[in-house]
Amino acid sequence: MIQFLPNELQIKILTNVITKTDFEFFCTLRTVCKKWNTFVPLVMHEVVISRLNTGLNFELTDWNETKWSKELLPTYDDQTKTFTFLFNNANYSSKSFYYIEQDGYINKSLYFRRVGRHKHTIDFIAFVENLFIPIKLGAEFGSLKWPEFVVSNLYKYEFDHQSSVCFKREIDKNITYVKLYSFTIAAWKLYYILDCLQINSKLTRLRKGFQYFEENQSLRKSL
Amino acid sequence: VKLTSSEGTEFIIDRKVAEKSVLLKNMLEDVGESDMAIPLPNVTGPILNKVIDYCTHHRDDPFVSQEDDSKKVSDDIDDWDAEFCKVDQGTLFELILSANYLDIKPLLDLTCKTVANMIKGKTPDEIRKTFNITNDFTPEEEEHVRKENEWCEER
Repeated sequence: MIQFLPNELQIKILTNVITKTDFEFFCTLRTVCKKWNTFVPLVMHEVVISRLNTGLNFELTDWNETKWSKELLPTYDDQTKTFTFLFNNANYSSKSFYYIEQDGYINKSLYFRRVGRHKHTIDFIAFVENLFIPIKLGAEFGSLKWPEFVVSNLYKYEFDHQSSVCFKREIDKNITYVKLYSFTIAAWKLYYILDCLQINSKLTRLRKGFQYFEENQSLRKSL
Repeated sequence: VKLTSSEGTEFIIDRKVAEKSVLLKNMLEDVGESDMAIPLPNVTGPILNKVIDYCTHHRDDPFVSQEDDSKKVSDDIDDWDAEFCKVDQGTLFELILSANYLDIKPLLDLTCKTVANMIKGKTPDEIRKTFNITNDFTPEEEEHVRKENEWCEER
């Protein structure tokens, strides 16, 4: 009979389910029926936005400044199963996310965890606020060469078929500025990070490619 | 306040109890004092009886707004409410529909939480069996969706 409830009530029930479980379980509900296959990602997107708005922070730091998910709420694409953070926001000051081209590399790795304010290092960080010991956790993406703009002023670097970063070039008075334009992450990676931050016991058996550390302490896990 | 269920059964309840329903509260405010029964064509007698039980028990609870409701993340269901929800599935879903129609947020929340508890921890197949849901995927479609969510199964 649950199938005969109006869509909004089925979605309300599923919203209650996700408050009692984790994304990992919740994703499996997509295979229940076609309707739930469309409802589940809607609910998950809502919950991601809600968690990023209340307690969880997705943080991007460069050597100029830090931006948080409260300003950078992601959009979800169910075709590609990805979340995209778009930094091309008119509210930002013109200096935000600009890099002055210097040498051949923009950074060696792109991390979620803070690795220090090294030159040419971008840190992508998701962490829990308001916990007694804040924990930061993230995924590794690999090395990234300095973007080479050939035809367009946009340069997209794909880490894999779901994760990518896009840079935008702007030239002003003979100085080239490269702006971080967007970041796309496989949805499951974001779900996994949010799950681990929500359920601390998961931190003891992190999947390969994920790392966490507790603020003011050294790296605790690196697989 | 007089209420009439879909079969025409009449119920007389305190105004305070009736006002747990936002729908009835608004109607009573619009109409004022009246001996006329309010028809509730979408609610059967037995379900209306259950709804009245719930509203009577919770008559002194503070009003829960939509905003408060959305912020509430507690999983707690108190003993009386848990006992109240020990009904067959048909009744439970009728209660959900009635709570939604009558706009009784705490009852809607309670009944939806109860169904959510029935879903928690079950496999998709167990969920289909529990709620008699038809699997309308072709085997290929189901495999495709399952593959997209493979990360859930890799430990």
